[in-house]
Amino acid sequence: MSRDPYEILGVARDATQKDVQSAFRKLAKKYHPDLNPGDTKAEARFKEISTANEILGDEEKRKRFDRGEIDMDGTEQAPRSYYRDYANAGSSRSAYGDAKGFSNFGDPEDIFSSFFSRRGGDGASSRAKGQDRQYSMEVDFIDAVTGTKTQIKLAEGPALDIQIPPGTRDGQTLRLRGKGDAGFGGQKGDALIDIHVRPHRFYTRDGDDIRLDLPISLGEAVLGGKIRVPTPSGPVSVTLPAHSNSGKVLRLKGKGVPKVKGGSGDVYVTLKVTLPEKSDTELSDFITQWQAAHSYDPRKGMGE
Amino acid sequence: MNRLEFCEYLHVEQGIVDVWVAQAWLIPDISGGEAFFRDSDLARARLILDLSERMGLNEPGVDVVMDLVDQLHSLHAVLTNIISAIEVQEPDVKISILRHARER
Repeated sequence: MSRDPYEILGVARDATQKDVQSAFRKLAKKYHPDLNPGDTKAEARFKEISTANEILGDEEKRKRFDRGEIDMDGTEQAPRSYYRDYANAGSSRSAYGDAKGFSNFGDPEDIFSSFFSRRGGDGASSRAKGQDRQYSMEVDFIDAVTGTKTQIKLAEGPALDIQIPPGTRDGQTLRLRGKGDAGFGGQKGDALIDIHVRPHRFYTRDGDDIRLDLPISLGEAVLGGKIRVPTPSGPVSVTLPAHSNSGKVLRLKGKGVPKVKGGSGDVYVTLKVTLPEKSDTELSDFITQWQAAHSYDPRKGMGE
Repeated sequence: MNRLEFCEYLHVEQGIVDVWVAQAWLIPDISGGEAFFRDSDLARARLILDLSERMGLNEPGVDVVMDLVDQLHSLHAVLTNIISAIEVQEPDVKISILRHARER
């Protein structure tokens, strides 16, 4: 992305900050993915608008852009997931489901109301059916990502096999039909199992993506080369470009969490240049010499 | 994630998240007196931040928008389900449904 932020927001180069703000707000209303759940192109467009606003909305950054010091690439927005990805993840049965929009379609027993179960509002159907039983269990981070079979010991009866589907999230509830209490009408309630995913030593989860900080040696940072990067589905070999700084982010496409509708998220690797564990006179001598001729200020632009 | 982790993720004060929960813009799971937030709550919170900070809405404005967003997403999800249900029908059933929909 290296387009002109003025063009993207549709403002003149001498527009006031207020003009920029109002142009951004107009476009954000039109393209925010959560306000336009059916528009598949909205996400890319909103990202572009956000990046343009990040530059022009900040007087300091705007000046730097005008002087040619930064561009749209340097201000790339971090990937994020939108609420619509969850709200539309194949089901309307979320805590936030809202059937108000259907109340004009007929009586509340009709087909539409059967799509909804607002939290706690499920009294009518439990009269005949047995009570649901709530359990919770912990799952390893990797098992939750790749999926696994495990057992859970319920309050009574034998231990039960349960399938943890790939891509299971922390806080997700699995429903085992007919494993709850017996009901008056013969139909048993369900066992609801709240899944708590244990944190991982170095992976963190961000929606369908995985993030990790990856230490690299000084030599690898300066010269580049092939490095092995761990991912939940096994290590992959990555060619590191020469002169790779701390904080640089590599994206391993499709190596993240399997998605419900097919495909997988990505793995984002943030490089962390790491010095040798012990100080080394040879290195210190070399740097002393090198620095004498090549000093630079990495904190330029951070003020006094 | 708990309330503290949730706030750190978003870089917001805990008091702000308490307001969001009090407004029912977020409904965390409560277990043992502690609130647990899901990834979907995180994405929802980012929408609230977009509305209140970048898009300049005040509290009553965010309240109206969140209510409409929930209705919109619910309608969208049901419509998606209905369309995929229509898609697997026999061709003559499909045609009949579409004809009735158009004649309304």
